[in-house]
Amino acid sequence: MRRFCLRELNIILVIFLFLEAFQGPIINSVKAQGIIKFYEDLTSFPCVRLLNSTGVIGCQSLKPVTGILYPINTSDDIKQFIGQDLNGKFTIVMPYDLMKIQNLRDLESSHKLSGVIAIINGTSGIAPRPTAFSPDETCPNCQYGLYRDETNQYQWNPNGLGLIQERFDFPIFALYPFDDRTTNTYNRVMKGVKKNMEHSFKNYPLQAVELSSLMWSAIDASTCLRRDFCQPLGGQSVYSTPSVNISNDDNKPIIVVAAAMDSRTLFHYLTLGVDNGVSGTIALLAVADAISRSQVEISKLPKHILYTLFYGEAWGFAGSSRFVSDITQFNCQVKGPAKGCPFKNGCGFPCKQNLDFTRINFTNIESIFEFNQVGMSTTGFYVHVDSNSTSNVELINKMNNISATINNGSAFVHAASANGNNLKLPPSSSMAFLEKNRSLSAVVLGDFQSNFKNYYNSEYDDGFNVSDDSIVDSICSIANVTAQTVWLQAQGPNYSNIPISVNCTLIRTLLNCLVYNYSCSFDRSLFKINKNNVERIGHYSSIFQYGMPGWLPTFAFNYLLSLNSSRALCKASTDCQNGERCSGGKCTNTITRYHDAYGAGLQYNQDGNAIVTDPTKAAWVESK
Amino acid sequence: MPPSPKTPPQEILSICKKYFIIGCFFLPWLWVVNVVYMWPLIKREDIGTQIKKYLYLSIFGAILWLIILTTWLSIFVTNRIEWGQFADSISVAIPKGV
Repeated sequence: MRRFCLRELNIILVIFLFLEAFQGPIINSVKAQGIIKFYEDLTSFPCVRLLNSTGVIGCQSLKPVTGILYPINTSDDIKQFIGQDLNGKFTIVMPYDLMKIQNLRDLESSHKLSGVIAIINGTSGIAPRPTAFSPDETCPNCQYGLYRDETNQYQWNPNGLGLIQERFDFPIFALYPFDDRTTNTYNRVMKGVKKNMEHSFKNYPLQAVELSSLMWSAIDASTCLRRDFCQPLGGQSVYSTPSVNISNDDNKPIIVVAAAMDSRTLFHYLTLGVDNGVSGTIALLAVADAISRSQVEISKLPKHILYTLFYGEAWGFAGSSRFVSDITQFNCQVKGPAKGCPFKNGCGFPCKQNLDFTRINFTNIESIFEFNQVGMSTTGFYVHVDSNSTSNVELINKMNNISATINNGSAFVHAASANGNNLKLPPSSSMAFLEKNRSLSAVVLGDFQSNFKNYYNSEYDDGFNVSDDSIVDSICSIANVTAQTVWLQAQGPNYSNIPISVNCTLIRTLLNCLVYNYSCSFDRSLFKINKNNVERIGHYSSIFQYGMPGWLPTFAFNYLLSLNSSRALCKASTDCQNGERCSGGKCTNTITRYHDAYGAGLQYNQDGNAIVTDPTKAAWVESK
Repeated sequence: MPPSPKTPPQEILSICKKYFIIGCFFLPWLWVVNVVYMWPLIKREDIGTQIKKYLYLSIFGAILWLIILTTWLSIFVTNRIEWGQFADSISVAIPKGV
């Protein structure tokens, strides 16, 4: 098993304290008779409370709760526990796949529950997993999507348990041993469970655990923001174009290649999202690399190519909707420095680090290629479209033909509606663009036809159940088709027949760096990583803060910046011409920028405080 | 502990009066102190009836305050969340997590 190191948990205080309870003269509860024998802080992964404009989701307990460790392995165990005559409160230790809403509610209503510890993985290799497990909803983010007003929306994620959207007023923690600290936690809990089994949960001393998951946030997003206890969920999207001269009025069509960077699960810090999140990001980066290596000078093409990696997409498409709304209707009211805005050169209010995004003219956008989940292809890839318009069908046919050429005549990219069901778009970033112009041609590429893969937005979407080779093959094949299609589209009718191809070795490197080892030498060659040993990084977006990009955006930014570097060597940005930047010893030749990503229902006011401006749109916030 | 028996009656009366008057400035606790402090003197013949007047007024005032405060507290606690921003703005410390 690979060894991991997680990003530090600094958002909430998690205290585990073990106490051994001894039998006193009259035993009614552990709490009354408890004598602290040893007291040990343990690292674990909490389910945390989040808020939107209508209420709260996730877990919270106002007071630390103590419970005797009690194992549950099957649904029958749950029934037995509820019916059993036991004194005191219990912390249930159970496998993750038993975590269904009904099971948790049943346990809660037994009045014997103090908290839940979910075992996602054990210490001896990879524990057996359910064949399908998705804590997300059956139609994720559909309330914020393009079809939100339609009744009977198609449910893309039939395995969805809806855990992510539930509110639990008791603490839930996860055990996932992958390094010394997390293995220690696992072993301590398991040892406690074993001891209690020996004592039949009745004969003291028994092992108990105290769970604390107090978060300051309460009620809803606007309340929490007003009290200054919360910050918006999101971060920094990254966009990049090799067209350094792109301008709002050049009338050159723009081809957008898009993907979402982040993902989500019930236990945020365990989010990896290999299929949903990472695979699309890597495919996009590989396409950008392939096109940058072409012999035709990209900036002289008749069309612009714009790469967009959106962040906070798991939270009501925060990145894409913010980007689209900014490039369509941004109006800088206060130029120069302003209160609550840390940037001096951009716009003071609304606060923006730079105004380069205004050079992108939304009406010039011609087509969108979006990578959705592309890492687990088994039967080829499917192109999802909003409608079978002429331009969409044309793009599908082009990709189908190119895939046939690559694969010795048998096409592996098909229209998702080839089976006769037009399910329209799955939840995707393209929806934000189509919201403004429904006639745009947009293709969403995925390894699924009508149902999301079995581990959608689950902690199990960590790539452990498939080989790295198959993930790399999957990403490489779709990236190849897309790179060539985009390349042909960008050249217009008079295209040169110089083939381009993506670098599959690069894809393998990227997969390794983004999933298993963030401090890999490839990353270190691009930018400085201050911490010595950042191995596994969470792919959960976390909170938005001005000028504070997370791990993934930092990587994507520096990677895209380094592409297409003009060969001029430099030491500082002043050595480069045309306002180019110096990156990795070479002058860059791209416009690569961060773009703020937070829910479309939120805005920052002139005092620099976030407020909820549109409760119908996404307004997710988290405790500071 | 009541004032010393050696204290001149006029002084006791003056203290009792002052306590009552100062208590009128939103200090109901001072009225309670006044009552506890002076109550043993109520049977004194010289000033008993005079301080009685102030002590009864103090009791009445303190009870009135108690009623007002408990009523307000129950209204506030039950409506705090519903009142939203207004409730937060009149709160000295906002409870965390609720």
